Amino acid sequence: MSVQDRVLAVIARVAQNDEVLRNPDVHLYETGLIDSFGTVELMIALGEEFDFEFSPAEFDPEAWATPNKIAALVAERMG
Amino acid sequence: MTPYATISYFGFLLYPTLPAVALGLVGRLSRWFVLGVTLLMIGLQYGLLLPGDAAVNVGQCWQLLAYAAYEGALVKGFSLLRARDRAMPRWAPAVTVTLVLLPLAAAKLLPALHVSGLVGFLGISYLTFRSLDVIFGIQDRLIKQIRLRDFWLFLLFFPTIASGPVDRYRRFMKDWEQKRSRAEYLQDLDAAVHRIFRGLLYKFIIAYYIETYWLSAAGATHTALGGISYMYAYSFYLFFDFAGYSCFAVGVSYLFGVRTPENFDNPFLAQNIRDFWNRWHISLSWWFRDHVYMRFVMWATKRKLLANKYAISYLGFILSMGLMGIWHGLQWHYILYGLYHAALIIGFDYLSRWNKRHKRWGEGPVWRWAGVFITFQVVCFGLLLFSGRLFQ
Repeated sequence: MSVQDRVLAVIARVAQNDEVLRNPDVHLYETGLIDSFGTVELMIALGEEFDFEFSPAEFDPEAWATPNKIAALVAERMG
Repeated sequence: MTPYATISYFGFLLYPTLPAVALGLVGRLSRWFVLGVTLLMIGLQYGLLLPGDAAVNVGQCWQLLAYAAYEGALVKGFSLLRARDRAMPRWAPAVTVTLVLLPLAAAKLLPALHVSGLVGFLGISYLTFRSLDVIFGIQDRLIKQIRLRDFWLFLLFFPTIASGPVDRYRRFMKDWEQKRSRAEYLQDLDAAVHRIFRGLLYKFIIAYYIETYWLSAAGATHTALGGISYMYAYSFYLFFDFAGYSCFAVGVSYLFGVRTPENFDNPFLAQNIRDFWNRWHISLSWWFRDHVYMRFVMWATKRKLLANKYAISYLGFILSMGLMGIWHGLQWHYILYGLYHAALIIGFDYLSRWNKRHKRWGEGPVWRWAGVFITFQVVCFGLLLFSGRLFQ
C-alpha cells in the first residue's frame, strides 16, 4: 500500500466513515467528519501507523483540511 | 499612552510608519528596524519617553523589559536543554512552564492578597501566551533553534502588545523568512489602510455611539427590561470596541511587515457555539484549542486516563474554557463565564450527536437562521455574565 492509501485508511477508521476513501478532497472540518478531538485521535493513529509523533502545536486547520493534504503532510514528514 | 485610544497616539505612530512604508516599498523592512521601533513605541506607550501621561505608570515599562529578559532567558535555556543529545530530565518541561507562568500568576494573585502595583503591566497575559507558544514549540521540536532577537521581536511586537491578537511564533517567523516584493507590500499596505479605517468606524463611531446613547442609559436602569437592554448593548459595545482595536492592531502589523491573524469573523452570525468560537477572539480560542484542549486530549488518550473518549473530550473543554475564564481575572463572574461556555460546548456536542441518530434538527436556511438566533441569545447572556453586572 502507498503512503497515500495508508493515510486514507487511517482517516476512514478515525472518522468511522468511508467517504474519505471515495473522495480524498472532502473538507474534513466543514463536513463535520473530523472535529478537534478527532484530529488528536488522527494524530495519534497516524503516529502509530508511521512511527513518528505529530504535535497539537503544529495543527493548522488549513493544512489538515482534506485527506489529500494530510497525506502530503505525512509524506513530507517521512521525506 | 494607551495604544489606538487617542488621536495623539495615531499622531506619534506616523513617525515610525513613514520610514517603515518607505523601507517596505524598496523591500528593506528588516527585523532590526522593527525591533528598534518596537522599543521606541514601548517607551512611548508605557510612559518612559513621555512622562506626565496620567494613564501610565513608568514602573510598568521597566517591569515589561525585565519580563522580556526573564522570558528570553527561560526560552533560550529550554531550547539549549532540548537541543542536547541526552534526553531532557522529566521535570524540565513542567518546571519551565511553571516559571513562564510565574509573573502572570503573581500579577493576578497579589492583588487578591491586597498587594497591588508590585507586578503587572498592560499586556502581561498576552505576552505569557506568546512565551508559552514558543516553549511548546521547542518541547515538540517544532522550533529547533531560536535567536533572542527573533523571540523578543515576536514577544514585544508593538502593534499587538497590549491586547493581541495572539500570533504564533512559527507563523510570525514565516513573514520574515520570505522576501516581499514591492507589489506584495503594496497589497499589504492596501490591507492595512482598509483595516485601519474599519477600526476607526468600529471603535470611534459605532462603539462610541452605543456607549454614549445606549449602554450608559441601559446601565442606569434597574428593571428587568433594562437588564435585557443592557445585555444587548454591552454585547454590541464589546464587539465593536474590541474588533475595532483588533482591526488597528492587524492593520498596523501589516505596515510593519507582519500579517497578524484576524481576531473576529462576524461572530454574531455564528450558527452554533462551536462556530462562535471560530469567529470570536479567534487567536485566543485557537490558542486554547491547540495548547490546552488538544494537548490535554492527546496526553489523556495516550495514557488511557478515561475509557470513554467523550469524557476525555468534555474534561478538555472544561479545562480549556475554565482556564480561558480565569485568565480574564480571578473574579467569580469570569470563572462562571468560562464554565458557562464549557457547558454550552458540551451540551451542543451531546445534542448534535443525539441529532445524528434522531434527525430532529433539519438542514436549510430556516434551521440555519434559527441556529444563528439561538446562538446569539446564549452568547449575549454569556457576555452579560462576563460583564459582572449580575454580581453587583
